[in-house]
Amino acid sequence: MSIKISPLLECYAESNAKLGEVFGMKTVISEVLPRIDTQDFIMDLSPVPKCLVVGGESRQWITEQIDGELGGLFDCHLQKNGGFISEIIRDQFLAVNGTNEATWTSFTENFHASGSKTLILPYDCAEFIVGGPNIWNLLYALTSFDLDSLKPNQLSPMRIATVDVYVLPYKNMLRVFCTPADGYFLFNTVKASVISGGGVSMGFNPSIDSLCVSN
Amino acid sequence: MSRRLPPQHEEWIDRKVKIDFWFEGEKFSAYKGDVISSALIASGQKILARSFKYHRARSTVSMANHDANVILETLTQTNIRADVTHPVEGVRYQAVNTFGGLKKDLAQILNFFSALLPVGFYYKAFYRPRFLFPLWEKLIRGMTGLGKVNSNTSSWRQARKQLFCDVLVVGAGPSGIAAAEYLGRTGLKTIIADENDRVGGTLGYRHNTDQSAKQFKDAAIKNLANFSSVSTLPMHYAAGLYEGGTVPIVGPDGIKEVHTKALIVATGSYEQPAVFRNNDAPGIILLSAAERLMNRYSVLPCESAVILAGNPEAYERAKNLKNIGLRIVAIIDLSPVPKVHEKEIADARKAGIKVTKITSIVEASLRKGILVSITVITEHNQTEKISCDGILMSVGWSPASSLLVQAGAKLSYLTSLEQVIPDEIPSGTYAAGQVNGIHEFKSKIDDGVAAANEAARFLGCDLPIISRPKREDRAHSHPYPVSAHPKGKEFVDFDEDIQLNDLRTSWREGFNSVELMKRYSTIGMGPSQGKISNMNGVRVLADLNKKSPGAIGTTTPRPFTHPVAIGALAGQRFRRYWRTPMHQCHQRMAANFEENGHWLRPMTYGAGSMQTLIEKEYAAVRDAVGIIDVSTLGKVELFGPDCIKLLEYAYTCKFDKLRTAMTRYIFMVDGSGVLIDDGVAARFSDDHFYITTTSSNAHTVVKQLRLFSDLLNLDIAIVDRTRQVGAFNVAGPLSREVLSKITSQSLSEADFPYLAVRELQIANVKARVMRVGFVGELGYEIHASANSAQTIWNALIEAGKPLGIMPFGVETQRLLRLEKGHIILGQDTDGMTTPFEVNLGWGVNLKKEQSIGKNSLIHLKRQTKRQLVGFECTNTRKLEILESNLIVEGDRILGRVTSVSYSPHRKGIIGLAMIDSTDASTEQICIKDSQGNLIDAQIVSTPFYDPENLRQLTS
Repeated sequence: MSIKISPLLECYAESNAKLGEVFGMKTVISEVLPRIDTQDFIMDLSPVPKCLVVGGESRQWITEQIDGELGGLFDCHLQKNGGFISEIIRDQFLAVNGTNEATWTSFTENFHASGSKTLILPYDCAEFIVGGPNIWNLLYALTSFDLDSLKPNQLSPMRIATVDVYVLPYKNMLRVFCTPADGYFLFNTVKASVISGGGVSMGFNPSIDSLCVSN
Repeated sequence: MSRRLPPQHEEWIDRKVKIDFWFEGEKFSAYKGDVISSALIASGQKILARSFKYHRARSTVSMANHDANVILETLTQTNIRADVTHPVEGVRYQAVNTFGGLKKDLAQILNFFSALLPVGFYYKAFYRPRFLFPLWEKLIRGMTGLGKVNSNTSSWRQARKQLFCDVLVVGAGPSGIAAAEYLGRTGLKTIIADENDRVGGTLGYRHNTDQSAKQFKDAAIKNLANFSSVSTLPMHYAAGLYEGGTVPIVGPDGIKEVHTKALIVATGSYEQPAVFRNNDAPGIILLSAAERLMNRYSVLPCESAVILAGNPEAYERAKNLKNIGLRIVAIIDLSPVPKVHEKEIADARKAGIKVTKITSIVEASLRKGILVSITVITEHNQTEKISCDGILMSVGWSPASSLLVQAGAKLSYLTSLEQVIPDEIPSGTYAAGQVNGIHEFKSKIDDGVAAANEAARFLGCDLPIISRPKREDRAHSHPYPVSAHPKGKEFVDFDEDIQLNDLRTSWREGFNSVELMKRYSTIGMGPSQGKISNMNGVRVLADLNKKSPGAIGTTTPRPFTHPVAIGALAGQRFRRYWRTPMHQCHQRMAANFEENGHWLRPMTYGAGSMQTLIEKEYAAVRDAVGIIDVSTLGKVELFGPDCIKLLEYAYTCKFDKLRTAMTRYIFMVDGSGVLIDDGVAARFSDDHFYITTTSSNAHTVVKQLRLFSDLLNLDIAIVDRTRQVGAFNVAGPLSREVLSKITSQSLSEADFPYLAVRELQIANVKARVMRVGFVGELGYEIHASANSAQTIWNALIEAGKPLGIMPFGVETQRLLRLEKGHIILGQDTDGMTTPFEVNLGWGVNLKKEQSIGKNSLIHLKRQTKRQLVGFECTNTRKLEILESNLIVEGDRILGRVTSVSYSPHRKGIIGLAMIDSTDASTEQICIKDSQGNLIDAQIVSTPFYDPENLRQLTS
């Protein structure tokens, strides 16, 4: 039995979804990738492991764990496995794993801050990715933020359908991170927009990061 | 009879697709692309509507949504503007505001009594005798209004979209598209919006015979389509301009809120009617309406037309319409300036059109409400009657300057143009084209380009300056297109049936400024917001005041420039709520949810009366084991060397004695010593604490802590984990037994004493467990990551089944904690309550060096004026007392009840009450219930249940 359950699992209740376990989390999985040039889609990415690295020495500690230098607030430092690290508040870093399960242990699992004045906390959130040719048009009905001003490789705090979120843009795709408490409402709201425009709701597919091309 | 012309160059209709619809019970046909008015006029329909006040026969005036003459409704929708709405197959339309249908409208009779209904008649007529006023009110309310809302139809909402751009160009006529094309070349992100179905404005119906205009239009539209930085939005009108450059543009799919850095207003101008007797009759329309009808929809407006010319362009426009099939009986030139149109008149006569110079119009003659002729006084002072079924008016313009005024521009009257023009426009907003007093076609294009150049330079583009074209020095508007008639019926405002005499009456009664006259006469206050009436109103008022129109000024055009549907304004509804990680578990257990702030929380579980459910859940907790979801509590992680400094500043107690792996109750006051929050603090190490807050104050507490941290320059990380961590309380004498089934770690009193905190593996999930007892029983508060919390909850339910575990809701928890005498902030406290008033003085340490509210607390400790006390009514089981009932002694109010419930343990009503300190020592109080009955109660010590705390400490 899975220990973790995707906060968005219930949002797939009406479909003939295929259940599976990814990164130890029960969720709906999809064996095909979306055709992002022709069809809008929404996909649960909640199983992707995330953690929060906290403390006055966290920046220094993370720098020792990774290749290269971390950027400024909200800048995503990309990892080889497709994941990223980004400072979201001073001295608080969100570390997100790549979507491929095989690389799980190579990243967030290796974070053990023993002996350091750094605290590692699990970061439970509802995460989904929404993409397709009409996706910006659909999202403009749900947010008062200028989506064109989103920068690639930068996490941006914004609000979608009144919910505070972090987003990460790619070409014709947007990753959205919100609290599990907001997940059901937000995912269903965005999903309704996607489906009303002829799009589809898909389960998790670990190869999604192969489509995550920055503009 | 069909008035459909052969196919026109620029027609908007698709003759291959026919649409059948119904109007006033009769079937009509339209082509795809027709609007309702064009289809009806094409079918020979003369009367399309009835007027608002006198129920006079009306038809279209502007064909452009600038008038509100033809408003229709269906069974499900009202406020349908027939001039701009496409008919839908099979739909039945009917005119609004009729009694018995359009043709036999019984209220036509009001037209004969119009002399009894002057402006402001309702202020003067119905106040005496007073007892009749309700009758009049009912009658007037029944007669007025435009259309009926069918409340049985389902409501609809349209999503509001946000758009962002560098420049918004409003209006896609010659100036607008020239501006957008120029901006497209700069790469600036540009949106161009136009209210019409297609862009081009006058290029499509007035300048369409000019070859250079056609070439310009084709090239510009093609270029606009090729610029990736330019978006074109036809069928969208700008409804107003708001703070920060936000312009709601309204289209068929709702409102788009455009956030722009610069604005170009190229909205053109509204053609104005002449004012003369019976000028409101069907067949009397603006010349631009005829141009639209004939060029867009290929429909003849009438069989034989008289052109009323008050400006030079009337002649060229008339000629163009003649060339495509309009039969012009005569052009009657109204210009007051001798020889001003000499050349145009000569050209018209050369083209075979009769031209008559006149000094005034006597009247339009009607037969059964339909135009049959016009009578004028010629320049030779002779009366001439001309038979016609159409009068097409070209007498002047009023700039569509609402957005400019809303941007802060001033308007001034240019006598050479006889037109209002924008003046002192704030930077970032630019006017172009006819709204800017530019009438000549090529100059409109130049003006659009120059406005775009100014906007681009305003946004930082390094471009050479392009000069504005000069305005012409001849008038395009008649200075006073008004001909009075002794019998009246010269309409200035069609929306409200306001006649020339109404304005004169207003003026005579002292409403002699433009704003006062507007409010008294209601000119410009109808659905078209004065687009084709305000300018004539100003001219009339100027004449009455013997001043120039410029000295009169204009009224303030506020948003919206056109009406906006409520469903579009409302936007999509986001009814957001938070679900706890165990939400699905609650659903499976038949929870009865209620919204608590943003959260959805189970109040009780199962079916039955609230009291029965509470008693069942209560019994489980007191006798066996219960479990409650407390994920809504605020949860904050504090990490850093300055944890204790922050906590001691933010909370009232000391933390240095709180041992590692232990918890304590904490509460927070504000600067005035008022209680604002409480919770539990757990210490994991010297530099790592975990605190909980009340559900409603989580966000506020985190903000406060961050503020204090910055204020004191502390080295501490504050992590709000409220919605990332699930929490639940397992409580009851068997709680340890249940928990021990799913963890291998020791829960013995020695290893896990009361108030301790431990990190345990529960059902293979890492969790923090605190031994606290809000409900007065042995209990464990378990905190785990949100996405894993369900696993623990399910394991506990499974493990507890043989022991009778039951989930309990917020209602039961309130009762359990009341028996234990624990307060709920916000319920047992108010915005003035201090810790000393609610017996929390033990938790206030005033010896600390500094803490928020410390100085206030020093004073408050000495001056406690109220006291929270427990009370009990043992002689009743029925709950008649409610929270907030007063405690009285004769006429004196001693306090109020803050919490009350039936206590199964005490077998009576128990409660908490806040009373004056001077009365706290009394033994008996009297409570006035909601029905006004007085109920006696005894003041008793709290807790009501287990005062020795034996049940929480049980081994």
